[in-house]
Amino acid sequence: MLRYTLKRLLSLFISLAIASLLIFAVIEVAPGDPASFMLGINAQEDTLAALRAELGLDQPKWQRYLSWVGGMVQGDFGTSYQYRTPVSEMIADRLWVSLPLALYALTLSTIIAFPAGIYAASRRGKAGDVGVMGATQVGIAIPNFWFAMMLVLIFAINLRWFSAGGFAGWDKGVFAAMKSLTLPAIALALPQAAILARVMRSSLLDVLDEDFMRTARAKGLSRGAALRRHGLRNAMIPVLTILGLQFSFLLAGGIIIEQVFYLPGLGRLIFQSISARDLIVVESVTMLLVFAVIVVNFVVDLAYAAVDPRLRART
Amino acid sequence: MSLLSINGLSLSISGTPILHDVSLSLAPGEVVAVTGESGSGKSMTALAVMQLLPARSEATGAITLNGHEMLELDETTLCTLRGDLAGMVFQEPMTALNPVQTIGAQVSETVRLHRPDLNPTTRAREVLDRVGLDTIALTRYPHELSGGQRQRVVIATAIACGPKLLIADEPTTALDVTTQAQILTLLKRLAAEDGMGLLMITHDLAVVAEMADRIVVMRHGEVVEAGDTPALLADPQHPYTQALLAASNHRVNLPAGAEQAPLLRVQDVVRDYTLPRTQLFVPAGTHRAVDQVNFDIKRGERIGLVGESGCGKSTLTRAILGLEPVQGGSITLDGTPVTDPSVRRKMQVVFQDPYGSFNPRHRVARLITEPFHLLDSPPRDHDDRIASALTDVGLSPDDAQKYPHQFSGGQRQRLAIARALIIRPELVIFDEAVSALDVSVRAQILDLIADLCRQYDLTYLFISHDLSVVRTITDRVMVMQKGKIVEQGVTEAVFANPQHSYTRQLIDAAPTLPGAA
Repeated sequence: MLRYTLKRLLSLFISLAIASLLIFAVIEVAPGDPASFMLGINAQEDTLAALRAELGLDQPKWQRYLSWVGGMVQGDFGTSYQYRTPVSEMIADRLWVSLPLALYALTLSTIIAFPAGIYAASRRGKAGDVGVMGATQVGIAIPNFWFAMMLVLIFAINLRWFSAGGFAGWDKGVFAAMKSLTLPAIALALPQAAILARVMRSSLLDVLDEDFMRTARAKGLSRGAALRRHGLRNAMIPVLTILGLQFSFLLAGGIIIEQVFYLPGLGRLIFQSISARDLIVVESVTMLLVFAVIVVNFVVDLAYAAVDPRLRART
Repeated sequence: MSLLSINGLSLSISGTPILHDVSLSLAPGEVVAVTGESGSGKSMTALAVMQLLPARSEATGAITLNGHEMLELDETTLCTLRGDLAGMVFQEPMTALNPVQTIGAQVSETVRLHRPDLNPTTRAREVLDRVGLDTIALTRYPHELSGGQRQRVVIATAIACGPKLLIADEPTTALDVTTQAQILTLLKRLAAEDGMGLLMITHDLAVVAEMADRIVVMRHGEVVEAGDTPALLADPQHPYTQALLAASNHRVNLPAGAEQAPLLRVQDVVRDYTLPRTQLFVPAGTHRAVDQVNFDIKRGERIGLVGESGCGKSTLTRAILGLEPVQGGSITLDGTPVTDPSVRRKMQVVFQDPYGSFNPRHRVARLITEPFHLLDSPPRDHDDRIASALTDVGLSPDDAQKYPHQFSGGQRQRLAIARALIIRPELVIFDEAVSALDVSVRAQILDLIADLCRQYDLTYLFISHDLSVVRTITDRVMVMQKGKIVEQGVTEAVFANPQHSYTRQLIDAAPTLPGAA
């Protein structure tokens, strides 16, 4: 198990190194000079040069890469070209919205998907299964911005249970903050839950056909007990994979939902920074998201091994 | 008073009749074997006793197990009986255990379910000791055990609560002969010690000849004959039983081969596999799968290769086909190394699973002409070649437009042979080519191979774990153990007078029917 963990850790660092190089290279070749963007088109050549020097844009590429990576390791993401504030502060503010939102949505999605998937699998081919699968089909098909607007219409405008948008802020208390994240989380969770429920169902159905399920029944376990004791854990590998992917997606991919609900999240930050050629912010947020994805994958890898002893052995 | 009695059991699944008026009985301590070919309903009979039938099954008649009317009980009651009154052992030990639970947890689960008075862990240890796994810790996982050991774990699970009836559904079919012999002895011992009734389901008459008190022969969902083992084997009444016995002991009439110059030369061949690295700075170890193997196959010679799983026979086969790099020695066909592409057209192979080796979306005409791409130019008389290849293997030229799923298992193996022979290769390799077939079909395919020998002077290498088959279909045989060929010689001489202890062990372990040569 230790060897397995170390190996996964090694691959994590290699992935991070490659990703940081790629991100740096892509941003480098992207057209647009931040200095001229900041000073406007009428800027003098010497002012531009001075600003470039100040931003460190005149240094050789490898030096800029190293200082970028070195800074990130120490928590220094540089200074935004546009706002002249430390990028780390901007990211931290946004992360306090996006991360809880992603976790919230993921929790909701799991709470809905697991029972739905298990129920559908245990009633394969019967009305309950068809009903759940039909519902998940709808859940996948509905565009989430439309669903978000419907939620606003019903729960914010008609029933007035929630506010239509904006983020209360954590200083107003956990309850208020979570309340303002509830509608966005539901909107994000629904399609994810639908996908997860389908994966859960098909993965369980595969396991139900396995010989060891018949052995479990021959021992005297009821259908349900066999499913819970022997089926679930064996069905978890594909489900964990999807969960990992969904978390990464939720962290960064909520941009449309953030727009609908006026949430100051990472998605909007990256979108605004791209429009403003604020490359240092784009670079840093992208790197952060890549970091999150790689760490989540690492955690998922460890979860695989926790679930399946065969992976622990195969170091 | 019988422990189990099945009376007039009929079964249909989704309206398709599976069993028709099946009756049999089993007394405490008795061993009854239910035998028949695939589709005979023998496994369904076993599952009906446990009431573990697939969905949409409808059973009529009566199954009485120790006074319980199994067909009339509700699911909750059945759950209390399964595992307690009756235990079951399945065919595939590799998949019959939950891969993510320790064997201790799986064995003790039965105890925990039915016998709250016992300490599950202590009991699990006791039964594992009883089945001969006293050196195996409870904390081991199934993937850390061999096939035979896993089957012992399954047996331990089934007997943990001291059931009155043990049902074993093809318990040794997936195992090597020596392991098979051990498992059969174990089952027999357990039944005798505990006075358990043992219901054995098997397709192999030879397996039960030595251990069953009575045999029930099934075909197409019906019992065709039942009787005491010695009487039934000595004097079968029903024509189907007679045919089954004849097929099991089938001897082909192999024409004399015309031995000439060596065709295939295997010299000092070594194949090493690199093992996974265990420590960062220590070079990875190697596993020698094929160790200094030497032999020749002469033109017109039929040679057998036997050995248990893991002995290296598959690796050697792949090396001969040029599909596996070798670390030492040479393999040449007519003097050319087999890795040379020009050799490919001279060698063809027939695999165990005909369905798996055909692309299901291609028609037969395309499937069996696949080897044509090995030729410099495809033959002009394309259609005639297809027709004659199909006729040669006993199929009709009209079959060329069909898809593989439209054929039975035996017919598919005929197609595989047609595909191998269509370019008239100099060497054919049969890799467990008849192992998955029912005995009567197997007999037909063996006859077909003998016929083709007569017609085309085939040269082949016949790889099998089944000694009785190799004995009848080859001139010479090689016995392989742990990567080495430990004995080779004229087939009859090797079987009649084995020199190496391992060969003797294999022959002794192989179940035989009384009256077999």
